[in-house]
Amino acid sequence: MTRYVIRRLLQAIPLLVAISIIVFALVELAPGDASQMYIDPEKGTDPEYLERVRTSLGLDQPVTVRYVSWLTKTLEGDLGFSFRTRRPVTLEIGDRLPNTLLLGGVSLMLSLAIAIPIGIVSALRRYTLVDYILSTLALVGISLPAFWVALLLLQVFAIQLNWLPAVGMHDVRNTYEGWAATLDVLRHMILPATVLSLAQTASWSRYQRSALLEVLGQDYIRTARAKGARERRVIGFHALRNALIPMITLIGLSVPSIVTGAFITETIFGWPGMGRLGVEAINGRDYPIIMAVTMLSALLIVTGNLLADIAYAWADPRIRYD
Amino acid sequence: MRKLLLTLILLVTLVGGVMPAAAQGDEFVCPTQGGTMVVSYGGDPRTLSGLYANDGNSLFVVTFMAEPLVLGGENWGDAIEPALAESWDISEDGLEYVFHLRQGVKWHDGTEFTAADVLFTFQAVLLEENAIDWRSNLMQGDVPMEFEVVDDYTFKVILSQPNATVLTALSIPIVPAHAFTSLNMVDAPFNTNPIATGPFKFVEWNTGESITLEANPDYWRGAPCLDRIVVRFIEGAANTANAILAGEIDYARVDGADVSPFQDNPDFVLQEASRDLMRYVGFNTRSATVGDPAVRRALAVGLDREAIIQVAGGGYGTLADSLFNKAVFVYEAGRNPQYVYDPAAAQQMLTDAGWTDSDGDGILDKDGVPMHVRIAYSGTWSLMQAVAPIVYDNWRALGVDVELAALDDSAVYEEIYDNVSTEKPYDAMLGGWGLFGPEPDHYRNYYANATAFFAYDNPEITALFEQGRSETNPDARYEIYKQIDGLLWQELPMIPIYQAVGAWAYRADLNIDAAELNGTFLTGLKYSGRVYFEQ
Repeated sequence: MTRYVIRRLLQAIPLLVAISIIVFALVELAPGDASQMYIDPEKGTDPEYLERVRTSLGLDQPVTVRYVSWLTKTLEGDLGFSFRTRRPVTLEIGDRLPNTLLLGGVSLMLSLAIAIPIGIVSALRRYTLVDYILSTLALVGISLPAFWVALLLLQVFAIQLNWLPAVGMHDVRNTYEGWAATLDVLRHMILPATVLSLAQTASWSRYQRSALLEVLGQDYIRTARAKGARERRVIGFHALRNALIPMITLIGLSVPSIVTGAFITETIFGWPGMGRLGVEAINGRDYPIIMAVTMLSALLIVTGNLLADIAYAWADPRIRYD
Repeated sequence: MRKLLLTLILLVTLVGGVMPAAAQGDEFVCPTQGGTMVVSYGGDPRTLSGLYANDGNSLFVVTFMAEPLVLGGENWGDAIEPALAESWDISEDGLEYVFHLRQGVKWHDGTEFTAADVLFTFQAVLLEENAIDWRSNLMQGDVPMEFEVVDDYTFKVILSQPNATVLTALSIPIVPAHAFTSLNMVDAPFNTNPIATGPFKFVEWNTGESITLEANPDYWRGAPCLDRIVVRFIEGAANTANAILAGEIDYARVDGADVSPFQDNPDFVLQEASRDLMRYVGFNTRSATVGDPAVRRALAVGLDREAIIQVAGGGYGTLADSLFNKAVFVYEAGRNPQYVYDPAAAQQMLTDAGWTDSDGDGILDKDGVPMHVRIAYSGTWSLMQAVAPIVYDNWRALGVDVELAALDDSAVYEEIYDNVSTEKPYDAMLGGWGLFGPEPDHYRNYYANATAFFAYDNPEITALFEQGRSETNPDARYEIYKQIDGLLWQELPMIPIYQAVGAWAYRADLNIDAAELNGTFLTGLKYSGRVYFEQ
């Protein structure tokens, strides 16, 4: 097992280097550069000023020089400065990461808490009215675009009913302490977390349904029933435990998106997270931030997969790595 | 009797003691005191330093905090008015400007503002490594202006040649010398933690979410009525309008969104003001097809600019009648005869200029050359995407072979913004510009410069611009620019389409009358310290 983990980790190194080269090249190929952030398109500017900005950002260097300097500095733990704000990248990301983790984590929990019971009920009541209703709802949930749901919820709950706040993470008119502050963040989180978890809940409930159905057709379930186990024990102990294993992969694969944020949802609700940072960085050709966010996401996919594989071996004794 | 005298003396001293204070802090007295106004703008500022703020996000926040010596420069409104400088004298030969600085002005940290701060600011701007956009303001060709601190409250600017634009050129936000360790300020901590002299001071920046500003009780115009201003970052006009309707934002610009929920709504006020932004069709004046002013005039008459305002601009614009923005001091509505949309007249004008469809292919031609007009514009700027098809339709109907070139960002730079060659790869381009303020000299960069967008350098106009720059007599200056305005309107190196109008929505109990809604400031407010909540 240890050897397997070490091997996987070593394999990840060339992969990450390759990803960094590809992303760096893509950003380079994309039109425009960061100096554009320094002018207002409505106003225009003079080329001389743009040249000075480029020089001060180091953009006048050839791309290979910039890549090598980026790589060596990153290995030393220095992620550089944001071209847009000139603040350290670690600080920019450090400001946003907790907010995104909070929103992503809560919506993940919410998705799991709703999707698993729905999936179980659908599977156990297969081809009944309940199953059809739940399946239809899941289809609707998967099909609705997130931005549309977001705007609809905003219109109803924030503008018409005025029950929930429309933007941001904190009430800027009042400052709260202790529990009141937590409650304030929770109130702001309800709408974006709902939007984020909606599609995930819908699709995960389908996964859970089919996983349970597959398990229910297995020989060991028939054996359990044959030896006279009660139905509650057959489902709850024998079937469910095995049907939850595929969910490990799903969670493992969704870890990167929890950390790198939801671009659209965070923008609509003004949530100060990684998704918005990513959007702003891409719009502003802010290479250091783009590179950091992409590499973070690549790193998480690699580790997320690895963790899922390890968790598999732990959860399913049939799987062994040598 | 003695008692009466004593009372009189007391009264005189009292009145005498109160009067100057009231006069100094301007006449305005806040009807109510307190409250937080939540406003919104696009996203995190790039910087909070007035010297680097050049994009909307940064300028918006900076405008609440920082101040220049004189209002009226780029981004600083539409009129030259004293700010940190109380008054100024100009020497006979026009080469020396002596600024008398306001006394007793305190930086937000309590330190006194003096002429040393002004000198430090201008020196930092001149330092090339700092890459500050204002640098060209302080240069006279290759030589910088000379600066001299006469005493704590007197600052002298010495020029090598007369320059009537000095006041607007020096309209640069002043930074405090004591907040920096050196002149080099590219990465100075100040850029995210600024100290200024304006009505509001910086308190806190929650990245991605908001910036909190607090009233500066020592502000020289008088303490602001509000306690705090919070700038919340919201992307897009529709999201902004939603946030106002939901009661989370008190004041913001909402044109571009559906404004009908604010109309006839007792809870909100919707108010419009002209912005110092022009949308235009520029010409390559060296083009084989549109190089002739008569052709350009015909194309102007053949362009339905009202339709562009309504369709592309959402109605938020006023039809332009000058190649100068309205904020320019020489602008006078109605002085130039309008190019009224009239396709038949336009066709006739083109015929008179020698362009007819002689070979019957539906395209005008002259001496065997078909009238091909390639229009370059940014394909990523949604406004221009909306303007382009209207121009196409209008001109195509006249028999012009219009080619729309919607360029991606890098091509826009290559063909337009970064292009300093006199050979332009387009016949026409779509663009917008503004926030230049009242000084017409700024337009010299475009209307008297063969390497700028229009490749336009008409000796007569260029000479007039040169004269206008050095003429220090205001009346003579007005005449010069009036002449330029008339000539440009005849020559049309570009067709000004419309000047943008902004629509600001705000809570009905918020009073901004004394703050003066002014679209030439990015915040829309000339005196943000005078915004107050009605009880």
